[in-house]
Amino acid sequence: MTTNHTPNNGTYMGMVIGGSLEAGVEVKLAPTASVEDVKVGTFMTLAGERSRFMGLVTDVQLRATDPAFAAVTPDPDDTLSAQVMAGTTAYAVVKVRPQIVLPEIAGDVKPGEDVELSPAKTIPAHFSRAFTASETDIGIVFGKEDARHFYVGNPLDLEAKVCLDMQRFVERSSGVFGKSGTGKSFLTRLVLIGMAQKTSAVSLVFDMHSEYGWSGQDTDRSRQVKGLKQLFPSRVAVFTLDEESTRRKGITPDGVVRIGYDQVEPEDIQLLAETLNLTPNAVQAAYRLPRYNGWGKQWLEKFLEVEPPQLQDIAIQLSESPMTIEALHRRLERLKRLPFIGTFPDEQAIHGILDSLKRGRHVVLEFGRYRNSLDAYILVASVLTRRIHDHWTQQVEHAQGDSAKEPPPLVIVIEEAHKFLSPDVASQTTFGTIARELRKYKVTLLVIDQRPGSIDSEVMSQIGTKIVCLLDNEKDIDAALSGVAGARALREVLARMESKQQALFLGHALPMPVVVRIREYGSEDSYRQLLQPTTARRKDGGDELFG
Amino acid sequence: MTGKVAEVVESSSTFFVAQCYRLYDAPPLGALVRAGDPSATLGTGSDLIYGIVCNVATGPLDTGRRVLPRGEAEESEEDLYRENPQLSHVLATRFEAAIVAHSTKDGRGKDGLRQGLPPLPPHVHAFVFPCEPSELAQFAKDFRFLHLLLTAPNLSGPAADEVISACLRALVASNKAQNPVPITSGGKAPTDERALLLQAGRALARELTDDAHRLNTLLRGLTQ
Ligand SMILES: Nc1ncnc2c1ncn2[C@@H]1O[C@H](COP(=O)(O)OP(=O)(O)OP(=O)(O)O)[C@@H](O)[C@H]1O
Ligand SMILES: [Mg+2]
Repeated sequence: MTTNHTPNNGTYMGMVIGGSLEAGVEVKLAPTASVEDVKVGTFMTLAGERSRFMGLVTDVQLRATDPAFAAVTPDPDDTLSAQVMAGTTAYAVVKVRPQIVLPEIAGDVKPGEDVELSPAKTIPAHFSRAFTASETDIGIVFGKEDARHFYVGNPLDLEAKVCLDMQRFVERSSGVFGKSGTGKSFLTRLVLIGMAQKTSAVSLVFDMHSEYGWSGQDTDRSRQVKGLKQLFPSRVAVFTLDEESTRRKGITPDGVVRIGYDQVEPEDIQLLAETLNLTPNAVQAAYRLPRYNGWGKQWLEKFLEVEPPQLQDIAIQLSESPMTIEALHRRLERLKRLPFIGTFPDEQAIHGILDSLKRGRHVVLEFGRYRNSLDAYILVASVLTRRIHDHWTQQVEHAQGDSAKEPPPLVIVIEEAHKFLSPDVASQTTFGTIARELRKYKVTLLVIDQRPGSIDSEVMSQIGTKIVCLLDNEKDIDAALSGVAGARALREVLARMESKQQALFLGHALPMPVVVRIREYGSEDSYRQLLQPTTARRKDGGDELFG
Repeated sequence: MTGKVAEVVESSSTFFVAQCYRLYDAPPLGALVRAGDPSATLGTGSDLIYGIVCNVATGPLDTGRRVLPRGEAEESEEDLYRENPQLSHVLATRFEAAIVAHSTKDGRGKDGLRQGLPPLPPHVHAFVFPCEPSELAQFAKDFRFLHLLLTAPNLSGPAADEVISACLRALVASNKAQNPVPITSGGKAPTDERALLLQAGRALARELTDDAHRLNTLLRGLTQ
């Protein structure tokens, strides 16, 4: 038995003594290994008879062969007894979930080389030996930084790279979850860069706090960090709702967004029900308003113009209670305060955004001084997403499968996602539709949320890749891990992450779940590394080689 | 080579009884002894059989005769023995040894010194020797013999744990005296006392996974 540490096979830790595929195997730590060296969230390899497995450490326990060992403890000064018993009669058990079958001999494969990785469908036999995963092992599983893989950070305790398969990432909707201040915005920025460098997808970012376009805030270090536009000027278009604030930063926006009353539909009002404090009856009434007096698409503009006496008539015509109509009127009047909504003859903004997206540019829409106005955010995101989704759907149908005519894959990025995807509204809004229809029309979502527990569970189940930072609400943790094999074990892993710059990545874009120390973003060095040429793909219509 | 000290007078698969040539000249409790003479011509006599001294007794040679007190008029015990020279002929010291290992005569056979019971016990009248330091060193390579000691039929009660502790202490002490001759075992090299103690302790722990109390007693005995 070799117990030596080599970079290729890690350190010998112990032997498999039981377990199951579902719950993970139990590894009894050898007397030579210290339980304090084993951390939840790190990886171990298990040398089975025919295959090597790689798994995630999900729990660590102390056990004794005889319950009496708890009562008959050695004298505190008797170090020999303590040392003898540790690892023999009193021992540690590490739970490891085998996830992946590794190629036969790690030493023959270099990180980044294409190797066959298959999901573990069985577990190693009794007394298989367990080792800490080596840099090489991690490199083989996560470490390809190439035309489609983007480096997001490192596993706990190792310097090997963890890379996301960005092409798989954009194939399905994805989510970034975590409490406030855990690093969701920093992560999202990295993911967007990865998307720009490694895929032909474009994103439309509803940038509530103006942190993705030109620059963002590093609150801990009190400094500005670069946004996408500074890193990839020709690949990114910045639109704004608040021209003044964008210009104040010294940049000329690619477009200023105005929403015409006629673009607002009752569906948008439904999303605003919570922020505008509308009753379900009022929402129902909004759905009927277009029928009143032949208002049609002009319903909102007309409704906001009516004088109180006319509300009575509306109520009668729509068989609604006058109180409901009055309340609806009063609440919707708040929208008049938003200067970017009004009567605008053209749809310049929407065309500008569509045009940029179709040319392969990522679009960031800044909200400027409306950063704290949730109704503005919801309304604008809802109206624009519907229009753009409609357009994409048409284009895809029009192309009739001719991929040359199809638009690029589009990823819609929204914050406070539960406002758009709560169980009450998910079935009726464009966002719910996008999540459910998968990538049929080449549109997916990237949702950023502090409260995944408030997102419709069906929508959550459609999310392909989840990036989960620290969460402490049980309901949110349940939601983030719903539909994941071995969720119970992963909860332990999640609960033990650092409160910042660490995330559990799981799903479609990775071979197996992994806790990642997110790569640093914001220093000159980090920008240089991000812009270093790797074998990035050249964009059709693009004018530079990224990466 | 150290000379013989006793002769086997009773022999069975798990233990033998030896009678000392000289009264009170028994090896200490827990000592490793060998039945059989490695320098005797090959092919004669028995294999070399190793045992651990686990009971020492002195009494009348003729078990039918009772020993009577004789020292009322003597100043000291020494005087008593001097005045009664016949005592060394009517009394005898015997010891029992639990068999724990064996080896072929030259000790360098294919397997060398092997822990475990031999196929056959020593012959009656086989000579018994204290073990050489080199034999002790070879013996301490492995602690599997503890299983035999812990379950030896003639070794029970309070004496059992004392014998085991004494035996392990003796092995460790002999190893220390032997240094720098390294003792290697299973890929590990316990060149120092502590490492050997640990190895012995762990072997005990493996045997006593369900007896916390006994393990604790034995471990405490190791360092005393
Ligand atoms: N990858 C990173 N590199 C450098 N600093 C980071 C990184 N991730 C997080 N941080 C630090 O953590 C702070 C909070 O991160 P961030 O703004 O992304 O949190 P958040 O999850 O988006 O919070 P909120 O929910 O309030 O928007 C940052 O200002 C920065 O100081
Ligand atoms: Mg944020």
